[in-house]
Amino acid sequence: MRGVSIVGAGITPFGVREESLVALGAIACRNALEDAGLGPERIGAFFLGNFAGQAFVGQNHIAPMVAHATGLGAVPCTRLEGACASGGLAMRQGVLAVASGQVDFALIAGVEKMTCAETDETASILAAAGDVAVEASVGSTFPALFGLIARRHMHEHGTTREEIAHVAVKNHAHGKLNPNAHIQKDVTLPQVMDARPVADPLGLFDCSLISDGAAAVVLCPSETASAHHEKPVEVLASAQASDSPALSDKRDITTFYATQKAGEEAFSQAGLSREDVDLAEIHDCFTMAEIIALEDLGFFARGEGGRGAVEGMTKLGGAMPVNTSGGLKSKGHPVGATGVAQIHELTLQLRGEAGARQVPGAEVGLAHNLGGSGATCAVHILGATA
Amino acid sequence: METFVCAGCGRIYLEQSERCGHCGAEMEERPASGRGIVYSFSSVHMGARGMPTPYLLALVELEEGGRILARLADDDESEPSIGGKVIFSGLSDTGPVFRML
Ligand SMILES: [Zn+2]
Repeated sequence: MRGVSIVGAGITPFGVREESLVALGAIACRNALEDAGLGPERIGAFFLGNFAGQAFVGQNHIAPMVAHATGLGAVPCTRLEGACASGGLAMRQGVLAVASGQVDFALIAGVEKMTCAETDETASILAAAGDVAVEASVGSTFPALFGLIARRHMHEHGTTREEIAHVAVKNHAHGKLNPNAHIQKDVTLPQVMDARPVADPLGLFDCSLISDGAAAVVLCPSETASAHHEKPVEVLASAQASDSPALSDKRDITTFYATQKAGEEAFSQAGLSREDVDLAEIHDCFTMAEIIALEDLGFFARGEGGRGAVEGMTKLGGAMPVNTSGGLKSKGHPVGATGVAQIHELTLQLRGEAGARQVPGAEVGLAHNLGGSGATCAVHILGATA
Repeated sequence: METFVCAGCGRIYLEQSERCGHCGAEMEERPASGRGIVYSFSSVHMGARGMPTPYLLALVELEEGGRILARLADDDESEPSIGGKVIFSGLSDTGPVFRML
């Protein structure tokens, strides 16, 4: 297997967008190709993350449509669906395609268009990322599942409501600095704590945003990467793991086994330790999810993840800033785009191009992308060019 | 209370079927007391399409072992709590319902 690097990255602004699902994907793809200085004819394979095109806008089979709109021609196009981890899975398949020598250039994108649906309809579409037979049928939604998880975590590990709320305050403070974020403004601790309840203990500001948007990256072999970008970003690890989505199947709902496994595998592939990571994009579909992921990835001991945002370690300026993009909470969460958007953010950071939210001297970044209530997890570790 | 437990994956069902809806293995009948404790719960204020809110969801740990996601009857005056005792009160359109003791 050969080394793989990112030589182009593109994104659309996240939020309520007028463009169609396919057009959003194509815009991000063209931006990424332009950033790499490559024509579409150079691409050998296309991988697209998308969760629910059919349910949101009535369109399936969108990988070849986005490819056609981007001018990719007859290249193999594959859509990956792994709920909120769809983008991370697309990234991993692209990495494998280039690493194996199958293609020299792979284009990876993720896209979702969600804001056209009513909120309760969206809740039902998203609920299909869980085990419908035993969860959605009982009236559970994703906020409800994470409400159950949060309450148990508070009970077992002493995590406080305030610690959970601090994650939202932090990620909004970061997102305010990201011109592509869906919501670019601060929220205060009392605003989060006193917000209208969604599924208690979680309120409105504990939930990620319903957004439209797309992101894309271009991969090529590391040995030729410097010919295509002056600051290629190397893929140091690409790992994935799975678990049952149903909470009733899990022995412990305060941890996600798939994150633990994918994290261990990623650190082993990269030959790095937790202390080597300068920044991370963590899947904060809910505030509580960021805390659990920090524990599952080994950055904090079990039950200590809540300290990250409260004590400032995970804030910009802290030891390991988390979700400098604003995360799913503030940047937005167009489900299929999220995993690729995390890679996009790390790419900017590792090139030193993240503007007001730049982590000075960032050399190693980690992306954690979680599907549903933990059934799918993709973890990537990226490194700056020395 | 009658439960049906999958011999393959261990899932608990309250309605009889030949095979497990999850893994396809055969089912075993298991009498249950209907008693359990609340493993976790959430009061859902923004729910799934067409479901009137708020409603209480709980992950209930049965006395005989295993957990199921269920509704907690909210016509009760007592507040739910983790570890609180509950008893099976029947099946509704939205699956199993437990009542706080
Ligand atoms: Zn089974």
